[in-house]
Amino acid sequence: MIEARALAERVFAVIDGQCWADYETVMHPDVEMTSPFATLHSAADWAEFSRSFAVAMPDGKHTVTRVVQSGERFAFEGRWTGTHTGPLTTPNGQVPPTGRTVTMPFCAVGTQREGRVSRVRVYLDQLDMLAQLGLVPQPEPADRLAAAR
Amino acid sequence: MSLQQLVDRHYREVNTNDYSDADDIFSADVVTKPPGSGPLTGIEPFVAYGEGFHRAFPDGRIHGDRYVESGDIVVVEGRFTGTNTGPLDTPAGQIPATGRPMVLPFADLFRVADGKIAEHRIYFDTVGMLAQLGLMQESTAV
Repeated sequence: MIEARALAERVFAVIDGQCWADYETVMHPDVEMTSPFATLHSAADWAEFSRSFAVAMPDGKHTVTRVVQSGERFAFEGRWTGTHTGPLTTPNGQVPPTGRTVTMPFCAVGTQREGRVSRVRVYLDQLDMLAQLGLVPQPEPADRLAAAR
Repeated sequence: MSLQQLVDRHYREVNTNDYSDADDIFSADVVTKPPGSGPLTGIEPFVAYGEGFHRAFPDGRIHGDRYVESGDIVVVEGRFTGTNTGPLDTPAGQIPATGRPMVLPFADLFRVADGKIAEHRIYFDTVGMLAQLGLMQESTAV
């Protein structure tokens, strides 16, 4: 076990540094990562996920504001900031660069084992990000949504 | 009282929609930051936020599942479960009841000062919430 603050620094140095080959130095190969975007079951999948995000927002950076640690359990609170300068791939197709900067608050809660992340769940609001990108679909009645499908 | 006990008292308030002991649990100038809204200062706007959820989900229950605590901060992973049988307030206006059930995972961060909650940050995914209510497609970035 290591200090959760040191763990946070290592993890985000690898992710923000786009060190795709180093993911397993900060997380276990079979890491479980759950977020509103995706549920991932390996370090390789996580690297692929981050790589696709980095295409859309190559300058993306995490800033950790608070770290909580209780034994092997940790919580990192912070914000992610990036500028949408590349194509953003979504299930509805590609969104061309908007040039907008996004600041997304997050809280990541998880468990470490032998100094590497073994499981983490990330809480954030996708609607907040979409709003900042000017891509917000307004909530609408279910029947209208069904008709549009 | 441990931080977790304080938080559990607050969750009982939510589950009973009875905030009469809020003055014992929260500082008068508590800052609440929910998703999709600026910070709310004071107990009254915070209670109004909770009551808004109760109107939309009268059978709503908040469950604290896992707690991480150190120093003056406790982070809770939990779920809000309920059926949307009342009007839901959104930034785009009020949406009539959808009748749908919802299980909303969330993280709460509480900072405690002088035995009371002084700061409360709420993290959940509004897209996931609206998708379960059939109000938005669950398909966004990446």
